[in-house]
Amino acid sequence: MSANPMLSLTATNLVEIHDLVIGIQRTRKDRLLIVDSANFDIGRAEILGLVGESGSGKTMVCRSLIGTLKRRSASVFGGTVLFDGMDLTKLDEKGWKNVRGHRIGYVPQSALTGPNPVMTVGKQLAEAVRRNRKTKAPNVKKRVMELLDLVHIRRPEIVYSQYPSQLSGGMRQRVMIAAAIAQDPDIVVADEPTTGLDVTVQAGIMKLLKEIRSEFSMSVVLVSHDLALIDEVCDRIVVMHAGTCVEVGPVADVARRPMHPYTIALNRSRIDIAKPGEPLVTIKGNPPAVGDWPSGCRFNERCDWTQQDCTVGESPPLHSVGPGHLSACLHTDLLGESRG
Amino acid sequence: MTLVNAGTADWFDLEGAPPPRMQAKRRKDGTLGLIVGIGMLIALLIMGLLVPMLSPYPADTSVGEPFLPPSGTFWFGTDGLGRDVFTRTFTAVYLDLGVALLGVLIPLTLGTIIGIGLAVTKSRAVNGIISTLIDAINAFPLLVLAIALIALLGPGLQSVIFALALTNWARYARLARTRAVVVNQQGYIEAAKTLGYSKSRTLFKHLVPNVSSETTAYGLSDMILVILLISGLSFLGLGAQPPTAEWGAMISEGRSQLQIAWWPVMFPGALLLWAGVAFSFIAEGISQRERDVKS
Repeated sequence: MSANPMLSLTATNLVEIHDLVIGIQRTRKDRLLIVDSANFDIGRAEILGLVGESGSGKTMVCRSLIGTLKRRSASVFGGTVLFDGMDLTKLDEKGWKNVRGHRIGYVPQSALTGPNPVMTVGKQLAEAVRRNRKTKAPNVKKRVMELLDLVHIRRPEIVYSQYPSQLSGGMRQRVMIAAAIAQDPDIVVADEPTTGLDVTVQAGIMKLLKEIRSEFSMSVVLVSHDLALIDEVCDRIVVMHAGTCVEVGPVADVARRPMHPYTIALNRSRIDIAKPGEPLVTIKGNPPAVGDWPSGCRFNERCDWTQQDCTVGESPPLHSVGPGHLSACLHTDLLGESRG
Repeated sequence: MTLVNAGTADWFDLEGAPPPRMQAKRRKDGTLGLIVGIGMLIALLIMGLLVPMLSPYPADTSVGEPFLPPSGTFWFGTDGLGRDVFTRTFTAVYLDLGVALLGVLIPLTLGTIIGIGLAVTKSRAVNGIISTLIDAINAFPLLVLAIALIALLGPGLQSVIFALALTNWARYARLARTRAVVVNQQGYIEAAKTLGYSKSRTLFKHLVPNVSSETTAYGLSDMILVILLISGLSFLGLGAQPPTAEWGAMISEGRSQLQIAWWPVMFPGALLLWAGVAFSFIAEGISQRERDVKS
């Protein structure tokens, strides 16, 4: 249910992010860069996974999509975020009003504090529904019930008049998803939507996001540090490391035939494929401090294949390594034999 | 728009609403004290209404010999001026509670508004000046500041209310500011923004109710302190002036003859205690329920 079906015929990508630089202005001259730089697209009705460790800038990229960077006193220093032809980095508060909620939905990280504790679920969803001018007053309750049903909340008529404290964490997150899709946005950004939830509940939320995509052809951006969790749901994956995108590609390629040492390392350290009795594989060293990145490839200090040219110059740009598959590794040819 | 068939989704069985039995049990915990407290308060209010209406004696004039002990004619005895202690004690209910209510409501409203304002303001100067003022006021015991202000304003119940409004707001403001800063970080405030709600809607529908519920709970427990403070000030001769029937003033008048007659002091004191216990039950019950909702 795209807001503008005509556009979806002409343009393939809903969001195009070019050379996005995000940072914090600490003093007049001192800038701390958190993202430098991000490059990727989000297709229509696509589920895109955004993977990376803490401090890789994945949350900041999400926030630039919904315009809440200022809450963390960060701002965009360069690059563009084109959403349906509109540059989100140039929007003012007035412009954002027509985008937030209406066209871009957002599912916050903290499921437990997501819903307002002093309002009933029904009231909160009605508030979101009423913002959508398409829904007439008498239909608001009907629409709220429909939303609760959509996100698979059992007995919606009871939950409607309940307070968030009476709901489980999984149900609260479902309510937040219902609020995010209440205004029929073109895209839903879910920033680690399953943090703090049980594994079975996580699977349920993932399945729900997938259903929402196919039901309404909404795009979904799914942020996670857990490759195992999202590789079953996503169409494509963007791997972020130290503020830049190191690998972009279809999920089958990135998860099974990774072309960047960082992705390979992430894959090896997956807990779900660890062999019993053997020590867990971790990525050696520590991630570089935010903004204090080494020159050249920012992974060079932790990489098994580091060459001379990996440690000099700028962070290497993405280049094609297969159909729709991009990697920022300078020596993808070396990775071949030892991958596995 | 088609709805997803509920039959295809049996996996959500894991996270249904808690069974009704559990909900009922949780509610009972906070509610018992609340019911007792509200019952005690209502009983007090009814007596305060009925006694002055039905009593054969006026509150402010002599109706018999001084210091008559409690009897069938004078249930609580008479005081040093021969006034009926029973009538006077219950006549004081609405005065004491009314003044206390004003003494809480005014600072509560002022403090909540100022505290939230401080949390959302971008002006460092305003924030610094008012925060310092709040800290300065809070540095002194409430009673000392109130006495100093009443010394300026002259004794009387209006001065007591005024002094409370001028001093007690700082406590609420500090609480509201801290709470508002915390609430501002919560997911629902961010969610409100990302859903495209306007700033005023986010402020009044999401931030304010979450802050004011906290300050109101504090206000209820503050009622006890303020009732005691008002009686205390009247006891010191700074609040209600004789011959007004007020608990603190009555205790003050009777204290010199405590060896001859305990009743002019004991009965107002007992009602003061009753009111204090009622409010502490209510405050405890409400904050208990509040904790349940917030958890």
